[in-house]
Amino acid sequence: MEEDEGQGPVAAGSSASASLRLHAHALRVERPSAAAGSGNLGRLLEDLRRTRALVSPQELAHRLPATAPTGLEPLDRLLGGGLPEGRVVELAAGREALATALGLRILARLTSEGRTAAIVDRADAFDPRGAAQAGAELKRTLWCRPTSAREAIRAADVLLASGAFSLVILDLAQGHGAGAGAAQGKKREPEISQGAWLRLARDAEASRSSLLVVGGSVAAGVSSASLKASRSKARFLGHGPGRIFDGLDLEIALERNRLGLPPGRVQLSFRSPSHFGGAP
Amino acid sequence: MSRIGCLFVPDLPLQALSRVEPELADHPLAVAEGEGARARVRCVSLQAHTQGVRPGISVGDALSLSPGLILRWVPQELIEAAREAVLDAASNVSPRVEELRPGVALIDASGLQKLHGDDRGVAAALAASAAKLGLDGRAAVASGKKIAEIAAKRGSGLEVIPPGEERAFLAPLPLAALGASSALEETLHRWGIGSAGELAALPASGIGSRLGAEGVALHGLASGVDPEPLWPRGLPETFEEGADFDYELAAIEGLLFVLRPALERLVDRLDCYGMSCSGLELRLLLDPAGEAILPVELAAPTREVASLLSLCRSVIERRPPGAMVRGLRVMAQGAAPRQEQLSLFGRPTVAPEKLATALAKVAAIVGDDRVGSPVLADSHVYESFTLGRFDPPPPPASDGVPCAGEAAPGYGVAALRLFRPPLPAEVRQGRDGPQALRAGSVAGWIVTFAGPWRLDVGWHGEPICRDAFDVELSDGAVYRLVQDARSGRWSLLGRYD
Repeated sequence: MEEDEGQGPVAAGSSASASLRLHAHALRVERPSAAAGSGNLGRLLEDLRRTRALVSPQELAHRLPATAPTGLEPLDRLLGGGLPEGRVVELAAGREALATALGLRILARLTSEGRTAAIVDRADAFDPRGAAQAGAELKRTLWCRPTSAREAIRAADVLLASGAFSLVILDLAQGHGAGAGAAQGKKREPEISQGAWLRLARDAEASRSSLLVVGGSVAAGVSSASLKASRSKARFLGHGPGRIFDGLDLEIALERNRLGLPPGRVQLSFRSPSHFGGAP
Repeated sequence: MSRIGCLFVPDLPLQALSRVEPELADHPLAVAEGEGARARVRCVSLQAHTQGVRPGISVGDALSLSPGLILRWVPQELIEAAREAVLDAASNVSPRVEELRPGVALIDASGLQKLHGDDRGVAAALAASAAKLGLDGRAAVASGKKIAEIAAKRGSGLEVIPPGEERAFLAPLPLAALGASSALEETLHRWGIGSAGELAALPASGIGSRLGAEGVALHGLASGVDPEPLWPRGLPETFEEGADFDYELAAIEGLLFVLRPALERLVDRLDCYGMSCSGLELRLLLDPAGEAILPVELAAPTREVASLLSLCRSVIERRPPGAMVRGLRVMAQGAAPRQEQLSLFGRPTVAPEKLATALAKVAAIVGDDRVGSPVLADSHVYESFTLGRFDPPPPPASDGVPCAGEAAPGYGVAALRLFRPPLPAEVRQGRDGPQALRAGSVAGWIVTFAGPWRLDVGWHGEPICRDAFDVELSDGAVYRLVQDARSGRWSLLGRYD
């Protein structure tokens, strides 16, 4: 078995793929000696190859999804280059923050590159003016406002299957109000089935669209990466009546992933839109 | 020499019925007109004809001749739809189409060789196009309008009269077949002339003085001269189909069962012009009287029947007719489908028709007023917007270069997560400003706030005057809080997130 330097087969486990992704050293397999056991090792390697447990770096690179940079360097580092194409990324619903700004940032980046994106806004919380201030091209943004989670899933399914959108943001977060607290007596929406999530993941992969699920913690079964946002600080400038809101800092943690990326967390800073033209 | 094609669809009322109910094709069928004792058979199918049923006999006689006869009165709208379908079928073969009379369409067959081959190919294309729309038509190609019509009516299916052989073709035909009036025919009979060939043999010099203009035209036609030019019609803007039910329908499933074939017929007709459906109007005929008109807006032109059906369903479900339905009419507006040259080297994009279909499906799911491209209203009111048609501009040619619009800034922008509608809030005010708030599940002490900023717009119409604050609560969350300056009421617009 002939293997060149740095081109040897590697195990397709998560840590190995991560190391490859970050251009670290590939696991090298030494040429077996002519001594006894070489035949066994050869057979073992052959078996591993056949069962696709052992792949070459080229094969592995082919398996890993392409990424779309978000334009936020720390987040791109955390995600190994950006938002993976054709995969489901979950932005878990924390009690403190939903990182709407992060979703808009990704939307702005992709649409400003000429791609089209869709927002399936179950929460009906999308802020078009804020998106425009974040740099999103609204002409390339489809805003879909379903009235139930079931409608949202069906709409996302159609949009992903069309292959027309590079990014679909599925916002399933519950609103605050009209009272989230007083909703005890209201009829609870049925859970989204695992089959529906699997279908969405399959559609995303087939169309090479990224699906960003906001507030859908049940997407864990199919998501390739799970991000959790938490608010760290709000910034105000000045004192007294002339004080202005300057922005806020968010901490984004990569909690789990199937991309072979090491877990980590980054701090992201977002500036207030009112600094550049946002009217109250 | 110009060549004219003719598509002739006999027994139009019968064919109009067969289009709507194709399952009747194997039964003895007759279309009646008139009411009560004056009801007469208008046209009959071949099976009914073999059983002795003839046009013009009374309905009672027809039923006594053929006990299994299916007798129908066809509404004029369905006959009109079939009539238009004949023209649509002809338009599928040539863009220059004239309607000679209901059921007879003429086309300019010149220059169609590259598309359909020789004249027989053009005639075959006419008949095939009619068959696609559910019509059983006969076709012919000749050098003139009248000759082509005569050939189509008297032929067995496909007829071609080669140039120069028109006179020979017409010679054995009786004068009535050429369209001679009864008075002129009688005069010629008195002269001992009974066929076109005999008329053509007369010297042309004396015809005018003896038979007038009509005689000259008939003599010319019998001689194979048919110079009348084609008068093509314009493109139709709307297409209508429909069906009447045997019994009244109350359930939407039954309605959709009938609606689907009507939509399929409409899409087939639009396809003849290479058009897509850009809008629909449903007209539900209610029992015992009245109708419900339901417009169906489409996000983009489409030919996908399933999407159109889903949209119609959502519209009917949202606006149920409120009475039993005894018939329906569907009117479609045609529009050119979106065409876009896909780039070989640029970013992969999707065909506009596929995108349009996806949009139509999404509109059917969430409602056509809840999907689109956000458009910022020309207003100082922050949360104001409209939803426009999603029609993204083509992607830039080179990869990764921002579009002509404003590029995304290199930093993140804190965005508001809006509450729709704004949450009514209770606010405790101190000397310096708001101190605590409660709105829905949001409650807490206000640690820091910025503002107020006064917004005073719309004095000439619906005035909005309010003060806005950005407030940070004790749990660290930042909200946009507004107070109506006139009523003093507080509300939460959204949360920075």
